[in-house]
Amino acid sequence: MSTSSLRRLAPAALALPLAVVAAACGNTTTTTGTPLNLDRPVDIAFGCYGGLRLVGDNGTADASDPVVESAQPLEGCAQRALPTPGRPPGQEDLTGESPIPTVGYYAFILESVPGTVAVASFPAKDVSEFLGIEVNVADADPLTPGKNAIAVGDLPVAIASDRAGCHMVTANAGSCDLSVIDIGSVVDDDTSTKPDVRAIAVTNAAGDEVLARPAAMVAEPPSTDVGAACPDTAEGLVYVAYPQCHRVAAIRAGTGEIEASIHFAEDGTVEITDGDFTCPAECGGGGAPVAGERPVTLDLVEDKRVGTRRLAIGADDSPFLTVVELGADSLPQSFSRVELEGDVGVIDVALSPQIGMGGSSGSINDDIATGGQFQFVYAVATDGTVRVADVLSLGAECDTQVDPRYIRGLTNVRQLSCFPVGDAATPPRRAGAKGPGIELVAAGSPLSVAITWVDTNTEQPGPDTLVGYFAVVTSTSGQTTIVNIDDDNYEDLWHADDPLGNQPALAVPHQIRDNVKDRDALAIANNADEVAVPICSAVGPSDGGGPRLSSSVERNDTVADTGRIYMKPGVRRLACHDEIEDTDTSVYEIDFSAPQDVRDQTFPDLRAMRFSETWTMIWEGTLSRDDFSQSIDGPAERVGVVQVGGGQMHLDDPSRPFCAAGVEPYDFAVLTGCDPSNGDADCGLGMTCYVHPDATVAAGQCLPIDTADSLSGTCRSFLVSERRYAITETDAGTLTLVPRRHVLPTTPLSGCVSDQQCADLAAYDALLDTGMHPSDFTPPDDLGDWRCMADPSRTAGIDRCVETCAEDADCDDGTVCQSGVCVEGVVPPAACVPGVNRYTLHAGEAFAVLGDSTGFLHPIVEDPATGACVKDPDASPLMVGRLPLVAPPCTGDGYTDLTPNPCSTTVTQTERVPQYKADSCDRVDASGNLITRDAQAIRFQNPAFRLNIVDPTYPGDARCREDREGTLVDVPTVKSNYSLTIPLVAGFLSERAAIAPVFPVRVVRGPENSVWVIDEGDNIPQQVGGTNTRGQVFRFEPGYLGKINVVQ
Amino acid sequence: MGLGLALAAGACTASSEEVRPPADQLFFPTGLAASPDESLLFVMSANSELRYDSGTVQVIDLATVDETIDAWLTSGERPTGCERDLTLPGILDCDEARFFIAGAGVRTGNFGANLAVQDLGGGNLRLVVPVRGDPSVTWIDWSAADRKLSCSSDSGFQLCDDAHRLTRMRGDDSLPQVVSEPFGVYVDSTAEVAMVTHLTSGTVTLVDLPPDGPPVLADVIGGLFASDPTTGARGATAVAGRTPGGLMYVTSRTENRVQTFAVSRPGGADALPLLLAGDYFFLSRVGTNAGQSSDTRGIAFGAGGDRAYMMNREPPSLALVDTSDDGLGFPRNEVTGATDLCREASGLAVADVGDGERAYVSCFQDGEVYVIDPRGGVEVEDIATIGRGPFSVVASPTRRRLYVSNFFENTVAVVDLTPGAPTQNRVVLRIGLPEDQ
Repeated sequence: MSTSSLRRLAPAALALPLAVVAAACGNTTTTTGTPLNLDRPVDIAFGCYGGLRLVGDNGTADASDPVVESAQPLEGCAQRALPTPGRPPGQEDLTGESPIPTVGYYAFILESVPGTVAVASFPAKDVSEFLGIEVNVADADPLTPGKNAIAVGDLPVAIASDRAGCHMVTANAGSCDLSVIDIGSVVDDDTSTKPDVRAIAVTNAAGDEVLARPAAMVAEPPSTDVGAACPDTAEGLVYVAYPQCHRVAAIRAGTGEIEASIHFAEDGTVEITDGDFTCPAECGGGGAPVAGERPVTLDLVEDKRVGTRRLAIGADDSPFLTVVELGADSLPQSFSRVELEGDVGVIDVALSPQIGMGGSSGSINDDIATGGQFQFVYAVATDGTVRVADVLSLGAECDTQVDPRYIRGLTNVRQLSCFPVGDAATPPRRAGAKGPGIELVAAGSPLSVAITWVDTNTEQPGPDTLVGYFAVVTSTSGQTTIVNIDDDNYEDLWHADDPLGNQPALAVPHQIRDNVKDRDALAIANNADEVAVPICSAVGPSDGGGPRLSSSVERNDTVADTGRIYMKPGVRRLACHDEIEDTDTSVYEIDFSAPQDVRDQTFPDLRAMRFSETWTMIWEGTLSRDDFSQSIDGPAERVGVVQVGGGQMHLDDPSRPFCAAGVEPYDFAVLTGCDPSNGDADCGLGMTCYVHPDATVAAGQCLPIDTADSLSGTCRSFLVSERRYAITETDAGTLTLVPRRHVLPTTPLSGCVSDQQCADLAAYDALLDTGMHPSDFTPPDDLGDWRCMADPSRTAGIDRCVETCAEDADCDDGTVCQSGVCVEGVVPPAACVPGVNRYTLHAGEAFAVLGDSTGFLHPIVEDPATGACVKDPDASPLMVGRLPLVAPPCTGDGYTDLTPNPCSTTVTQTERVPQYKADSCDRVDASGNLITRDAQAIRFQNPAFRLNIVDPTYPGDARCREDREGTLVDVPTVKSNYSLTIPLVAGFLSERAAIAPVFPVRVVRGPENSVWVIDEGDNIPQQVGGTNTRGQVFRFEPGYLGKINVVQ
Repeated sequence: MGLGLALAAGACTASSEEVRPPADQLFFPTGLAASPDESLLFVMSANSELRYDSGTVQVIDLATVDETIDAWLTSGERPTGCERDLTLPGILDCDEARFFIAGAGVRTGNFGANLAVQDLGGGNLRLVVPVRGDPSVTWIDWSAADRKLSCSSDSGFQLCDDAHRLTRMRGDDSLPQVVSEPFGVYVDSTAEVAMVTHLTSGTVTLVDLPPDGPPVLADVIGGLFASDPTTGARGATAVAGRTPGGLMYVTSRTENRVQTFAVSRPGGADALPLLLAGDYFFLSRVGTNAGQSSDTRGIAFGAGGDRAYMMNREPPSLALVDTSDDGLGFPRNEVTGATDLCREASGLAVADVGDGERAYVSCFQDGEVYVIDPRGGVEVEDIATIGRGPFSVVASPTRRRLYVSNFFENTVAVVDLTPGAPTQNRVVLRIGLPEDQ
């Protein structure tokens, strides 16, 4: 039978009331919405119905065999849906006989809350012919308006087809029983037959009713013998998970009799039992709960290639996965267990067929694969990851988070197929990985997983060209993410001579599939001979390519347009010869045009560069960057309470954010006060934003309205200062603050040695604040009195040039005189810091490195015993977010040379410098000379990238700007808020199905390996512009990702 | 109906006695709160149709409730004033006066939505009631010795006086009045403060609750949440405290931000407390449109404060948020699971009655309570039919009961939570005889 012969409802039945309403209101515009037929679906199962020859015992087609319209095994439809359509044995059209009527698929969509099953139909045809209009909701009751669903029971939670393909079985949590639906009674074209739905009580071996609530159900594999008449009731076994009974029961679907069970005992043991057991009567009001594993999810796979039937079981309160071997009768024979790492449970499982791992031929190659045979369980775990275990050869959980830096040299595909968790040979994990499981990217928590496969594809490797085995994961934020299990269209191994050609994050199993095209694209162009040669101006393909700088590194100085950027730290540049233009130039090491080995080392793990994002390196910048629109690493500006007493000053924040922010000793806090342009809005009740008349800083301070003026004298030093305080002790909720001394920015990194040196460097610093050539510069008379001395407000070990004073007037703006030295803030009287105070936290004497999506990475944790903020000894060396100008020497240049980090090294730096005329500072030309020189550099690595910041210090210029002929040693030039902005693009992007469910509670593999996503829907009111879906079902084809059907 | 009453009122003026609310009835019950020892249930009647001149807070003796339920379930006993429910015969419907502590109630302003309880020690309590009609934050003391509420020096069925209706910040005429539409309330008895949210302005108000003195509106912070780009509306809705840690979480009706607050008394233990707005995070992992879920109408923390349940209306979902310490001394604040919910969810309670923690969500539109098991994937475990317009939900782990105010039928439904009982998750008693509004 075709889909057109299904019972259907005249659409006018819906439209009429709307028209009446419209007429009553005098509105001539008829508005109709999209009819919504589903109501919060949660599960789906499939049937096949149509013409069937009843072939009798001989199994062959005879003209005398009756032909009926009937439900039948899925095989009846599957054969017709092959690329070259076929027929099951006995179902061929016979010469001289009428052709057998067509068959079609039916999807039975379970709706839990209303307790109904909706029906949709779709044709049995090759998926390549699908247009996206094939799946349509059918009507189970044409006598009632609307497309009606079938009432089946109370709170059904799962649906499955029986072995014969003639009945659907639901497991009902509300009534603790099963319901059996006669498929034929629902989808036949006979309006006189009502849907035949029968409740089946579940009984144990003694015949007593088992009233446990089911959580999941699967059926034994369907028959592939097409040609038998449908039995009166369901056939075969269903496996039902009963969490509170701690069992998975094998139940005869037609009778409800339990024939066996897998029992998870309170003591942690597992046993296979017969049907002689009882359960707490959850639907009958008897029996207290007992302890034990709670099985809540099942998957059953028959693998005809290797002749196995296996049942996977997950429990939501246990890290153990259980795999049960089933016999030919589908009853349990034996079991094995794999323990997942950590204290997790499992909420959904998917069992793969046995897979031959490896290969890139464009076809599944299970029998000849070089990596050997594996069978995987994908398990959605309660830690918000998808865990993977091999349940065939290793019997172990696979670590999906191995850092690709460590596997570039591996050539054993079998080893790459599953790195056993905890195995000594398993390389370290990615920095920041929460565990061994697959972590979705910006997709919420995983909800459900299914495994599908695509046999072959002749397309070139690319994100949308799926060949091999894949997991499909739905998640709370509505995404449907695709994970590579065995991509048979991409080479398995990385090659040093083509480092971007086969990248580990794309080749290794159990990785989220990347959606970005042409990851191996190079900066090349064809020359006149049509030979690809390197070029230097390439920026990468607009819709793909590898990670790279999107435009240029922006360097921002805080000193107004003095042209001194050239002497400040920057990102290393490399020499580049453009063979098309035949020119020499330089490119950033993070540019697309950098050599591919450099690019591979710069971005060694595609997956770790989770976003296309802009990184900023700000000298003494804030440790947090959240504004009102995002929540990544905490607000840049927070509020706390300043406690002053006994000469001590503390900043208390009861929300205890300091360790989480990554504060370390000798960072500093700035009391930011209030913004007078906001009036008093920044202040609390009864407070005003007071700005001292002598202040050279823009910020005001919140003071009580009635005492602000009288406090202006008492608080003057505090109010006119920049209110910067060094942090000497760090606790999760309290910082100990001391006034930060005013130090000359050009103090040598190795420390000053004399007051005279400080005086000279003060003059040099004054030069840097101008755009002048040294030969044109005369230092001003009043440079302040800078003395070489210890600075207790900064890291110990060196002396620094500190400005000294006798009174405030001796100090630079924003600093005040205290005990003979100029400080950037004083310990104020308590009355000057009433109520709550705003503050920011800053990296001391280092760049703060923050990604606009990643935030500030750091290794600081709270010591649970003391509350102090300490470095986590187990933290990855890549979890670093500060880049100082002094670092220990690097120990190697390899992918895995991660410590120390940051580290100091010497690199070549290629750059263009001005060429001056003899005896003057007039430039010969505007372009200057391209030079390559050795440069000191600080190498910085985080999970996403590695780069070198060159020139932490500058030797000074002798005569003209940028001549580098000065003799200064270790003298830095950075000042607060000098910044590098590094926009990186082509970050990892998860491959996702192009569908938009709201709450995709379940994903199921359907006929012809199609993937069905069950969306429980929303109810966003129409009046606020939302779309009320009440749930929907999506079908997409993994071999043709653009072919999507939507059922609502 | 309201219009009809207004017309009637215009035709002839009713006397104050005629519009005084009954002391023995529920009328549009909204907020519920249980005493810390789970012996008392306080019920707010909102007077939402303005039939009377005020709302009320009544006190239900939960021991009497249990005695009635036990007798009903074990022997089918129906005391005087009680009758078997006509449509659901497993339910006993009783006149609410039977359970009221006589003379214990007080009168408040209209449109009270929620209430919360401060433990003053020795069985003495203080109720904090956001009253939208005044608007005010009204406080009412419960005397263990007298077994009655008090919010005025008057005798009889007291109407809360001005001293008990906090309407001005710090009681200072030079400071602002309390912001309109006070809605949600949370009391931290240890910190001696209450936090009140304001439904239409994105504002929160901090109330100082000195046990030996009158409460004071101590601090206020506005502009917390972005306004809805379509409607322009904004508002703070639910509030709850994480213990240990003392952080309070506030949600919005118009965006998916969850704002945390700490409280400090910079001037010392006797000084007024101040609010410190802390970190915020977004419910950005549930639902489409970049996972945003908003109109969060309920928050409740599980035991130990390691997880929070957040009840959203858009999309209708209950999100489970990991609020455990992340090793950095800070809550993780990560959504770890979620489940679909009924539409128009209105109340949320969390309790462990002996079989693990469960969340109970009242469904105003559907007249149901969803029972949600947070284990594993956060699943709807059961759905109980409750009554018309279920609103507030309060659980009593000790008594293994759930109390639900039914706004449209003037009852409080009592649900049996006893694990394994035939009546588990079913209404066994209605306090009040159901009626049409």
